This record gives sequence, C-alpha cells and structure tokens, in this order.
Amino acid sequence: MRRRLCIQEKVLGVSRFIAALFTIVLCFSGPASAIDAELWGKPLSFMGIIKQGVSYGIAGDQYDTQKGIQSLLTQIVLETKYDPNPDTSFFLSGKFNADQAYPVLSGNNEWREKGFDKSRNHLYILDDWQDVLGEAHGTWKKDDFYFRVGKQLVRWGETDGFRLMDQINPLDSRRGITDVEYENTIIPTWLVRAEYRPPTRPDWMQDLNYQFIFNPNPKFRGNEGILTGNERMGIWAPMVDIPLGGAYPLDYAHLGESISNIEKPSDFSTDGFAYAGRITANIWDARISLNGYYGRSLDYVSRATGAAVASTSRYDNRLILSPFYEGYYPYFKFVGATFTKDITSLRADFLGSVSPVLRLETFYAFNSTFVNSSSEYVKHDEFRGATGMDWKVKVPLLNEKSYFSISPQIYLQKIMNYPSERYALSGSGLYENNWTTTLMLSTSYFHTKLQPSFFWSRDWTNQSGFCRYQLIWEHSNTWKYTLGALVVAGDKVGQGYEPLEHKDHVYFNVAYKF
Amino acid sequence: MVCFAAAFIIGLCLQPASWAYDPPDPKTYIPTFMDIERAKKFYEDPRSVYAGPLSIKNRLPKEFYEKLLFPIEEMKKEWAEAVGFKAPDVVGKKAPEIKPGKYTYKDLEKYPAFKELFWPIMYSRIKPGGPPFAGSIPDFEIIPTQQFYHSLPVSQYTKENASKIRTDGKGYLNPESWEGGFPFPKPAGKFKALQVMYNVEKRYSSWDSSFLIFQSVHGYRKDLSRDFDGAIQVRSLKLTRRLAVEPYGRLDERAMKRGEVRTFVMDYLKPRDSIGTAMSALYYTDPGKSDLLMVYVPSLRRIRMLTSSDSQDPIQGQDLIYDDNDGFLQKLSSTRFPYEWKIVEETEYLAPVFDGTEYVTKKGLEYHNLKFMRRPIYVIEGRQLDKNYVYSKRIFYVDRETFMFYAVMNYDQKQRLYRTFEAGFKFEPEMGVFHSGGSSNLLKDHIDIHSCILLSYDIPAFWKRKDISLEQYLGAK
Repeated sequence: MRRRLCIQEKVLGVSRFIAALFTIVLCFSGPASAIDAELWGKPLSFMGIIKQGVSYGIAGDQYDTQKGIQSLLTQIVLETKYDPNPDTSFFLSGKFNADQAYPVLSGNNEWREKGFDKSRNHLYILDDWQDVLGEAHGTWKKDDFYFRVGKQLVRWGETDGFRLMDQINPLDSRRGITDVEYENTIIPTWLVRAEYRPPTRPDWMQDLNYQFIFNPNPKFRGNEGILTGNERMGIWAPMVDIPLGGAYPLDYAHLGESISNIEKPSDFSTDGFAYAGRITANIWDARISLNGYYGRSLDYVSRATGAAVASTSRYDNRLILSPFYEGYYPYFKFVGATFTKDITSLRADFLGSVSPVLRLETFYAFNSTFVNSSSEYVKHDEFRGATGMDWKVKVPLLNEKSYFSISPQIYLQKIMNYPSERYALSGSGLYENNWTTTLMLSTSYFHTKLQPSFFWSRDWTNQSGFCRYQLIWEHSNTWKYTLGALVVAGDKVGQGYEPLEHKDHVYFNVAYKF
Repeated sequence: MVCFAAAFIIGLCLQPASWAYDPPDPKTYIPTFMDIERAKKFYEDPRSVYAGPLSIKNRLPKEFYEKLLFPIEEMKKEWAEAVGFKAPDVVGKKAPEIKPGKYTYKDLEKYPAFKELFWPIMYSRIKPGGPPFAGSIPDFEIIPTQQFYHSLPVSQYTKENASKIRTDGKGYLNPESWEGGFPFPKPAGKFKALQVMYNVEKRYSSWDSSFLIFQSVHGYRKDLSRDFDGAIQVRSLKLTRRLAVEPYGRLDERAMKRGEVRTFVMDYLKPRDSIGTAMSALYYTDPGKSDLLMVYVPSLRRIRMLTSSDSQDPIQGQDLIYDDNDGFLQKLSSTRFPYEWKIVEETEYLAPVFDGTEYVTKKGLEYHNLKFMRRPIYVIEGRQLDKNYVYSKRIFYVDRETFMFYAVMNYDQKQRLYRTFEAGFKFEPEMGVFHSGGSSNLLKDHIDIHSCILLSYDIPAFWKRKDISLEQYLGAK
C-alpha cells in the first residue's frame, strides 16, 4: 500500500513537472531575442533565461540519495541593461532558483525517511534577497579610467573548474557540483572596481591594464559549500559514516548537520575588507598578469568543540550525529601570475594544424590557516599552480566536419613546511602535495546543434573523481536541451569525492533564452 | 633668403595641417543598433537604410565627409589606367539578346541564355521562394553596366607601387615589397590566378577597412524556419598601407615595426547566449606569424587567448568557418594550407549590385528589388594542396575591374559542394568605395542544408588604437 502510494506520488510529481514544462513551452513558443526598449531616448534591454531541469538518481537505495526523480530545478534569470550614454551603463539582474522536488516529493516516504524534507527551508527556494538580487552595478568610463561600483562579478585566472586566484566572489554549491550551470554558481559581491589603461606603452606591449578591487564588506559572504547532513544539504549531502563498533544499528552512525558557530566579520567592519590588484598586458603576443590579494578567505576553517547531538534515522534506525563546530574565516594573502600563449611550434598538420594555447596560473599564499589532526589552527605558506592546454584536433573518422576540443589541466596544491606527522592536516583533507587533473573533450555535429562533451576530474591524492557525460541539442538560439549523466567514484573513505559516491544521476534540462 | 625662410615657416605650418588631420571620434556620430533596426526592418522593408538620417552624409561631420570624397571623373580615369580597361567596354558580348530591363523567373524559359549569364549557384536561385534554402529570386532587374573604380589614393598607390612588387619563384608576394594599393592591377603571366587572389586578399573596401559595422544574421533550417537570430558590431582599423584618409601609409611606428596590418574588435548584441562576448584580432602581414586573437567570454567573465590557427571549425549558428569571414580571410601562403590557383574562365556574368532598396520577404525568404549588372568576371579555382584542410577546393567569382568578389563556392574533401558565400556590395560613387552596408550576404551549408542571411550597416570610422583594445572596449561597456 505504501509502495503504491509512493508510485502515485511519483507519477503526480512527474505530471506536475511535465505540466510546468508544457506551460513554459506554450508561453514562449517561437523564436525570440532580447527585448529592446528605450528610456529617455536611450537603449534599455531585457534578457533572460528560464530553465527547468530534472535529475534522476541512479545510485540505488542509499541513505544519502533519492532513487528516481530527486531534483526538479527551476531557474529564472532576468537581466536588464541601460546605457544612458556611451560611457555609462547600469546593469541589474534577478534570480529565482527553486527545487520543485520539495513540494513534489513532500509526501514521498523515502524522501521523508531519509530526512531530505527537513532541508526544505534551506533549499526549496533560495529566497534570501542576496540570492534573488544577482548583479546590480553602475559603470563609468572617463578617458583611460574605468569604474564599476555595485554588486558584481570579478573573475581572475586562466584555469577552468579550479578556483586558484579566483577568490573575489564566493561560489554557490548548494545545488551540488553539476546541477547548475557554472556561470550561475558564482555569487556577485558588493565591490568597488577601478581600472586604468595607460595610453602610452612600448611597442612590444599592448592592452596594459591596472585593476584595483576593494571589497568594503557591506555583508560578508563566503563560499556556500557542500555541508553535511541530509537535513541541511538534501540530496547533495555527503555520505560520512562514523564507526561505532557495535552490531546493527550501532555498527556506524550517519554524520548529520553540523551545529556550527562560524564567526564572520561584521558588516562594514574593516577586518572584513578585501583588497586586490592585478596588472595585465599582452607582451610579445603572450597574455600575462600579475595578481595580489589581501582579505578574508572565502572558506572557513573549523574544529569540533564537543560532543555531538544524536538522533535516530527513520530510514535505517541508525544514529545521526550532529557535531558542534566553531570556526572563522581566516585571512588569505597571495601573490600570483598567469601566462597564456599560442604555442605554434606544437601545430601538427596530421592533427588538423591547430596549435594549442598554453595556460598557466600560479600563486604563493602566505600564512594560510589550516586545522591539524589535534584540532588546532596552524599556519603554513602554500603554493598553488595549474597548467592547461586548449587544443583542437581533427578526427575525420569520428567527425569529418568539426574538430574535437581537448582541454587537459593539472593542478597542484603544495603545503609548505608540512608537519612531519603524516596526515597532520587531515582535518582539512590536505596532504603536502595535492594533485588533481581534469580533461574536457567536446565536439559538435549537425551544424553545431548537437554538442557532445565529456568531463573527467580526478583527485589523484585522494584517489577519487567524477565523470560527466553530456549531450546538448541547441534547437535554436532560444531553446536548448541538455541530457547528461554524472558518475562519482572514490577509493579513500571520507576523502576527496568519495563522500559523494552515491550522487550518480542522469539529468535533463530545457532552457529558454531571450 | 627671406623667401626660403617664409617657405620654411609655411612648410612648418602646412606639414602638421596635412599630416595631423585627426578624424572625429566615431562615438560622436555613429548610430545605435536600434536606430538601424528602425531605419530598415529585416523583412519586407524596401527602404534603404542609407536613405534618411542614417545616410553617410548625414551622419558624418561635414569636414570629415568631404575628406572622403574625390572627383568622380578623375577616379574613373585613374582606375581605368590602373587596370587597363573599363567594364562597359568589355561586356555585352555574351548573350547580347538579354537587354537591361525587368525579368521574372519565368523568363528563364524564354531566354535560355540566362543559364550562361548567371553563374550556376546564382542561376539556381532564380525561382520563387521555398525550401530548402533562403535567398530565392523570383524577379529581378538588369541595369546597364557602368564603370566601377576605387578611390583616388587607391588608384594612385596601385599605379605607383605595382612596379615595386617582388615575388618568389612560385609567384608568392614578398610582403615587404608591397607598399599599398592593389599589388597586381594587371594580372598576367604564369601566376595570373595567384596575382588575382593577392588582389582579393589585399582588397580595399569599406573605407580601407576603417569602419564600424552592425550586422544582423538570421539562420534558417531546411524548412526555412528560423533557428538563429544574431547581431554583431565590429570596429575595424587599418594599421599599415592606409589609403582612406591622410596620413596615408602607417598608423604609427609600431605598426610598421611589428608588421601589423589590421585590427578589429567585435561584440555580439544577440543572441542572449552570446551577448557581451567580445573578440579582438590583430593581423600581421607575415603569413607565417600567428595573429593575436582574444575573446572575452561573459559567462566566464574572463578574457581568453585563442589560437589563430583554429580557423576551420564552424561558427555557431552560421554557415561559415573563421576562414570564411568576409568571404575569404585566409592569408595566401606557400607553406600553410597552400592552394594551386588557376583561372577557369575570364567571362562575363550578371552580378548583383545593391543600392539598399533590396529586401527579403518573411514568407519564402525571397529577395526582391535585386539589380544585376553585366560584369567582367574571373572564375578562379583554388585547389587545396593540404588534405588536412576542411575544403578541397574553392571557386571564386571575382570582378575583373574591381577585384571584389561576388561568390565563393567551397567544396569538402569528398568534392561535395559544402558552403557557399554570396556577397553583396554597395558602391559609393563619390568616394570610390565598396562596402557591405545596405547589402545582403547569403551563406549556405549544402550538406547540413542550412542558410543564413546577413544584413549590414557600414559607416566610415577612424578609430584610435585604444578604441580597438579589448580591455578598453570592455571598459566602455
């Protein structure tokens, strides 16, 4: 009886989803483009994206995931831009981000027994005004100076997927690692940005640009990371088992939501200010930047402070332990550089005669804060570096019209003066040398409408990783359909991606853009 | 002594006046994309975008506009001397029974000689509109042939510098020996086809590539339903061998030292996925040197460097590759994707000439108000010698009088017709300038069965380097 009820609820959920999609299709049938209007005789444009997705869990019956339909993400982004004169512009964007799985699966027993329904307050609709308001900024240009003030995005670095120097805006991982398009996961921040392009330069240099960023810390916000506990993180909660040594149900406990006291800099307080500077130029046809950053880290450090609160899971009667943590956002200071160049000497005719573009990004951070295995805050310098290549090769047997794009990357995080005891920083999940690689492959067929891609990320230090297989059908410049699958694997318990091992799922998205 | 001193002082005064002309900042007179969309709609609109307030004369400051004008008769005389003939004198011999006048597709049966007067891809378009391709021409007008010419400085530099051109044993141009103008105004000899293609590569159009262009692009599936609606704006600046306004020659010392030819920055106004995407390019004279390409990707909020060797992948939504931009953007080279060029035919064809009143119908995507003129044409075939290149062969229809080309047919490595580019030009008789503004380009993919129509608005604009710098450009957005 209970099973039949679940099926009925699931069918009802899918029906609602299909109905919602159908409504969107009806409302926006036919090609469209940005809506252009005028305000006081000057151009005003509106743009937007409406996207509905569904993901289907394929990891089987696990405590930390939902079988079958597990997520129904609705995302709406509306943007408007106003240009009162060629040197001034204003931009405003708003977002609606909701997971319809919460109302649709609210009556589902599996969903409730695993405690996913308890994360509804956090994850059903991201309705904090800071989430609803996307970017909101004004831009002024005066001669060789350029200013932008407001809630904005500033991206640094040359690496895809890893955030090395890209530390100015926090990252939002509340919807997991692949459910949301990457561009929508960066959280705009209130910043003052000033740039200066000196008019005279030597012959061998061009596009010289000085950039200065000041974060006045009107409201501190760090990365929205993947937190523990089904009741906090929903279907993206990591699976962390705490051995208890007894017989079932006391063989192990589930790690629940952390009860954390994370200290943040208060609004507009000077200790929350951040300063960043960058110089970029093209020198002898290579693009180079020098970067420096001083401010709070976007990731907090934390340590356990006492006994955990226990409750019992309705799913398997095991204990759920919710530990107490305290922590803070430490200072983060680095100097770094990037280098990009077209390496013409590596152009090979038999591969299609496209030369690769080499990308390097590296920084050295001073006195970064970590937690050691004794729950102490310790400071070490660290080096982070990544190199990648963007290469296109021709494989006529597989695709006679388009190239295959191949982008491999390798990333190293090295902790300087690493403690002699092995795993001394295991609280941070970090070793002395931490290696990760990624590989992105993509191509296109049918007049670039069909775009298959494959992405593989491997954390070699923690022997874990994930693969994403994706197929995009770009029906028109307004309608886009995406079908994909994510498969996660890990060998070291509790390390790297292993706690996300049950997050395997397939997903399908429909996006309408105007 | 007094005369010498006076001449010296006058010389000092004149020198800056003639060399220091500073064209007005284009941002003070260029229209917005909305202005252009209002002046001519994409479909069913026979108005010329240049007829009203958006005409070049109305937009440009008077002094600047006048600097772009030259005496018509003098331009005609100089150019005829440069190329050695006038078009009206060499056409009219093929199918003379077909006279100027108005025709419809039904007249193809009445006058079978039309099959000889249109090149094949154009002949196939003379029909009522309908799938699978856009751009059918159910009716058209033939107008009398007139002499076309380039501006006075282009003519003069062409005549002056042609004798200085040096080539290697295979006919390839020594880039240092080219000082401006068309390098081979009277192509001849063993390498005649290659010489024509050099004229094509170094063609002078759109105020010597110093312009602002707005371009709308619509793409169509084989059932003619629209699947792409894009728009771009491009700022282009010629850096060396400049012949549109004084100072002629190089823009600055650096351009000469580094062998820079041209630079541009473009950005997408639509579709939504591409809005804000901006790309800059800096082209070098040396075909062996990689051009500098950079793109700003708004979704990444980053400037990324691209490789200029990535020139064969299809451009999203459109029926061309990077090398097909402007019809032909490849550099002629004996080492990198070399061609074996030959002249298939020197003949006359009816070529489209645009005055801006042409329009496309929404239903059937037909062209109306299209005018044709008998033109002397080189049919040039380039056989690609490197099997790794996307095309095995390109066929060009090049105007013998102006070296502007009207169509390019590109074949894949299986010898199938793959993509075609049919260009449109508007001629400004008082300036001696061809440009794509007010005209229409038609692109087709004959394998995936897809077509694109491009409508443009083009205006002279003499940018400063900083206006073309990607960083600076982004800062202005």
